Amino acid sequence: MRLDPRVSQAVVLSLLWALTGFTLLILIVIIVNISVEGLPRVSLSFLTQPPHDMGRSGGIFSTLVATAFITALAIAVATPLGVGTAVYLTEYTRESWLTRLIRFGAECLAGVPSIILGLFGFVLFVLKLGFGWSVLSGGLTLAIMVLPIIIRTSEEAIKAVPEEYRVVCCSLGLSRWQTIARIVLPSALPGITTGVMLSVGRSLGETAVLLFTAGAALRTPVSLFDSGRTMAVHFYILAREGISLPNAYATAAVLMFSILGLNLAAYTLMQRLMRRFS
Amino acid sequence: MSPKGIERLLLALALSSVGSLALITFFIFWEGLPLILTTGPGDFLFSTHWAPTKDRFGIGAMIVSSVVVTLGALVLGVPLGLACAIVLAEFAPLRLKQLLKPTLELLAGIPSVVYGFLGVLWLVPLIREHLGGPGLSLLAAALILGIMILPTIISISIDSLGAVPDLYRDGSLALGATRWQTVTRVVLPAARSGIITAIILGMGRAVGETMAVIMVAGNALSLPASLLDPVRTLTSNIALELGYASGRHREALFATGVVLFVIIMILNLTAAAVTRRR
Amino acid sequence: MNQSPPDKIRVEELSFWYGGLKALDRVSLSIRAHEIFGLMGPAKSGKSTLLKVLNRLCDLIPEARIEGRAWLDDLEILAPETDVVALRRRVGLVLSKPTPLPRSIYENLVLAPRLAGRPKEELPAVAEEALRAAGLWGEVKDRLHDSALRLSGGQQQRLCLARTLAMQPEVILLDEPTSGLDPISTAKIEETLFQLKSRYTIILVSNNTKQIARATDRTAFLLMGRLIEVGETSQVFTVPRDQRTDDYISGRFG
Repeated sequence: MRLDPRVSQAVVLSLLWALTGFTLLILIVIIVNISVEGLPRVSLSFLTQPPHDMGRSGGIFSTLVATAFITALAIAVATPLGVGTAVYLTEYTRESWLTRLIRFGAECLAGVPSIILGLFGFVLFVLKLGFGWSVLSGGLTLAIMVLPIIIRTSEEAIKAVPEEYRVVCCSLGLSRWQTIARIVLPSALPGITTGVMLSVGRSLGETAVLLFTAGAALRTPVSLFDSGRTMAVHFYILAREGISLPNAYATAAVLMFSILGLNLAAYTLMQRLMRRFS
Repeated sequence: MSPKGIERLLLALALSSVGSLALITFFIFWEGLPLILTTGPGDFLFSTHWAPTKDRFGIGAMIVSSVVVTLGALVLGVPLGLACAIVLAEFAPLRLKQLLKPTLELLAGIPSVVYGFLGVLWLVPLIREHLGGPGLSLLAAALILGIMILPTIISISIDSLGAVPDLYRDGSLALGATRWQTVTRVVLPAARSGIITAIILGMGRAVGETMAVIMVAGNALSLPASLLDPVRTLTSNIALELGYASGRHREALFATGVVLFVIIMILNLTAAAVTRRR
Repeated sequence: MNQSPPDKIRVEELSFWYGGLKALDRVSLSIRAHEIFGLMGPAKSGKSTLLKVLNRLCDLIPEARIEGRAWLDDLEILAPETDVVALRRRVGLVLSKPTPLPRSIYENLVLAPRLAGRPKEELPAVAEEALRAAGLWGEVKDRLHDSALRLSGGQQQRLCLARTLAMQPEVILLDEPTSGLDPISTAKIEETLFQLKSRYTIILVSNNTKQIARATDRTAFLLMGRLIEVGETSQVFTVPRDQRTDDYISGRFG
């Protein structure tokens, strides 16, 4: 017997909507649970006190410092590399085997799992170069992880700069580099910022890379060669070793809302940009 | 700096991603390949006997576990992800789509340690009480990964559904097909390569995920006999033991990395090939 | 060889291809100093391409191919060793669409002079002089640091003209500068051109034959990349030598 197509459509559609609703529900449950269990414990003193007794009591100050330190280093290294790559790809070459190779490299790099990056950072930075478990090793490895994100967003942002600007600058006697430095990059800055924000978000949540490159020392790192435990690593250790469920939840809340906030801000910025250029 | 100098500098920056990829490949293979060769590739890949203290390195069980966990993740993630993508791309009102798409993409911003944490708190006891076994299991890992790959599948699928020209839909609707028939017979086939890419990249994400899997999979070394058995994947094997391994044991972990890296690269290359053929 | 060409710009047997597409076909002409020279012709006749060759903006076009020669005074425009930045400072271009850069009015004006090495303290005077010459000073003098994107279309185009003047070029190329403007803005621009004539050599491309007739001293008519006719504007418009010119200016053209 054949069903009336309209009846079967109604059945299938309600199923699809139910599945979509279920997916949303998962998201909502995660966010609500972390908020309800974690946020009440987040206070100024939680953020400004160092952890005591392996994190059983006290706050997360040292992990905030380590996170900021490592993330800042990663961004400081990856941004010039990524923006430079994007400028080269969009402004200095035509499509060729070389540009295809560079794009392919970035694409593959984006697919490399973090545990492999962790292995790589461990053998190159920690062992071979002798940086040890340190902010430096962690930051450099994270830089490689976020490089593809910065390349992709910068390339899109630079491509969105109207072609007439380049023609005008050229006819005003600006060299190609002057055009890029004075007009193209400033116009693409919001888009590049979006990429940086997404990269910070990605770095905040990363654990596998940092366990084997930055280590897990709870002391506040003060130099590039100190080991540092980031928020995500701290949370992992609190949860996995059953040290303190309430503190794990509170750390998760700080972590998750920083990342979601950054992603939301990046998304809003991107939307505003797209409206401006269309 | 001269224009030629600037161009050379930018080219050097642009080679950073390819260079990093080459370095990663080199170091992982350099550290891991000798052990595979001395153990014998057959023994290393197919033996299920992993006993570093007895100099026995067989990752057969981990390969099987990684594969099964990944397939399990696809069983949950693909239908759920495609349902969301179809609803959002084809049936949801524009406003709702503009709200839901970024919301679902927020799932990607939740760090993997948070997924693992909530998996341990909710999913593991649920499985232990209702289905039996230790709870920390292949099933738990597959379910968590199934959720974690949703953002990848949803956003790439939505983009490829969105790329199908409206003309196709109008043509089909004009012939009296319902919207659902139009989706299954016209839109999905037209978006096929994009959806396949989404699934392959989702697979890559699942195979490479580490932290969440460590927390919920139980990490037992034996070959799983049922979905409720604890398992250890390739990624967890590296992450669990790298902290204290040395000598041949460490080499064996890099060798595990080689296998993982090769699997990921095959998936990435397949995804790239599918996209290019479009 | 030492004898300098009497004309400001001289083009000899110039051909231009976009990939396989021929845009200019052995065009030769001379443009005198301090005249307004009109270039007219239907779409795709090669007018804009000719302008792009004169300040080497054609370098930006991938797959372009050029044959023939062109001179600005003694400078061979198309020679590989020519300093294109110096050339572009001598030959300014105003595009058909008003394209202010996303900066303040003032920044738009002083960008080129600053990079050309004009001392910082001279820049305000350069900006004012250029705005006065373009007839825009009165309208914007109180908001020089507002975004240039907030000006009206006509004001934007006069800003683009002023921006080119601030560079103190010798030749100004205008590529259909009034095509998107209302009649009043158009009249203001044409008036400005008359006043600039004494100091600059001006080449005006337009597909508006009335504008060419009103505003230029001599005129060339291009059709499908070929130069059909060139002469005093009054002569071209009253007694054209070629039937196709006659057809074009009387609007009988396909």
